[in-house]
Amino acid sequence: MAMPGSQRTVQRLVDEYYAALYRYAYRLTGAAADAEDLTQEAFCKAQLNLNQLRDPARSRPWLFSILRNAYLHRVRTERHVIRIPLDSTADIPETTTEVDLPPEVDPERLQTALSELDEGFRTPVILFYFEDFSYRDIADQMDLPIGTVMSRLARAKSHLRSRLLMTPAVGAADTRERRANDGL
Amino acid sequence: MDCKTARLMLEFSRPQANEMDAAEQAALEQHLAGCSECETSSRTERNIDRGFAKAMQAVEVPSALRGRLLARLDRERGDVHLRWFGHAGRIAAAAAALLLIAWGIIAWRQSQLPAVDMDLSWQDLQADRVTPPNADVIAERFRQLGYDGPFPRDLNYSLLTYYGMGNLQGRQVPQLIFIAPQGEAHARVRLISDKQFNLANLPAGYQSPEGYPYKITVLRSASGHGAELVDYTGSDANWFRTDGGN
Repeated sequence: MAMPGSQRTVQRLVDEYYAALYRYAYRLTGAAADAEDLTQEAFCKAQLNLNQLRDPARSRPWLFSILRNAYLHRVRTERHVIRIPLDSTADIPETTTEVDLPPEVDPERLQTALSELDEGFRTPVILFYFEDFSYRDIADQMDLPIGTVMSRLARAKSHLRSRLLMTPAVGAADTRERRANDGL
Repeated sequence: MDCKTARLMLEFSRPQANEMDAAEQAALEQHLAGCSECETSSRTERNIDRGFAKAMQAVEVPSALRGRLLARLDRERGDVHLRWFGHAGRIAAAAAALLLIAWGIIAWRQSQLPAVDMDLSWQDLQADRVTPPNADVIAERFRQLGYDGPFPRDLNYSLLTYYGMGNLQGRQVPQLIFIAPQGEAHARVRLISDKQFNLANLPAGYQSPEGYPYKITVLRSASGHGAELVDYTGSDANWFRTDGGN
């Protein structure tokens, strides 16, 4: 039996974006089970609201936006995670050490450092390093001015550097300490 | 471009995303070509970004995730259809229940109406034939029905075919219908009283237009408190009176 058009479209969306969406969800939540739940929830919502996707070329940001909204809906009811506030006026530290090769960053430590960030800072830095999202895309996703996105991005990157590059020993100690607070 | 501006632009430049203004990008590249310190900083920035990007994307995707996703979406689709059909079914059931109730009310009201009793009708007909109503009986009947105006005694009640209340300008008035013995003429007499109508300007007669089989006339009662409004066929308006109008 032939699949109806909407079912075909959903299957195409799954095939093209499920891996990227899962990775995004994982970086947002820091837990595989939560990432899978969120990915499923996002696709279910997309299937229900497929008529809202006017331009198929915008499928990717549309799906990412659905997933982020689903995530925000969850965390609003579970505000027990300790976050590091980054909206202070402190200067962004410059990288002083020359790096000739891309540093080897432990993905788990990266996740820990990400989980310390408030969602408003975490989302832009994740999308930035996924490399497919322009500043404009990120601003649209978060419904923020592009200048605000760039500012938050700079602070989030600075945080990651300070946690992962500059003081690895302290970072590792903090990692163990903070894991208890990770998750949704 | 100075070093401070170049460092700031490096913070936000993403060569792969091509988001910088072409002129700014060219100015930055020109500065980097001539400033080893900033060039080193740029290379360092790029390398760090590459390292972070690689780690950011290093998330193992469960191999069975795609299958689980498609299965869940299939189930959800089925549930949506079920919910839709369930909803439509509930609406249909409610509509059917309403129709059933309406039909029941109509059927109940019909059952409360009396059936036509043909035997009773025959008995009434026989009674009228044996003892046709006379003027006294009819006058009394009209009084019971609320008419208290003058009642004509000079009509030939043996020719009376029907009597009862009829409508005249929205008011109920007694009316008597006479048919000539051979059926060649008929007349309707409507009794009006001065308690129902203003008879002050009642005309003495009425000239019906020529060319119609019907004529109409009016006859004021002797007491002056009522009148007869008569429409009739036949040669004149007196054939249904006892003395022929004389």
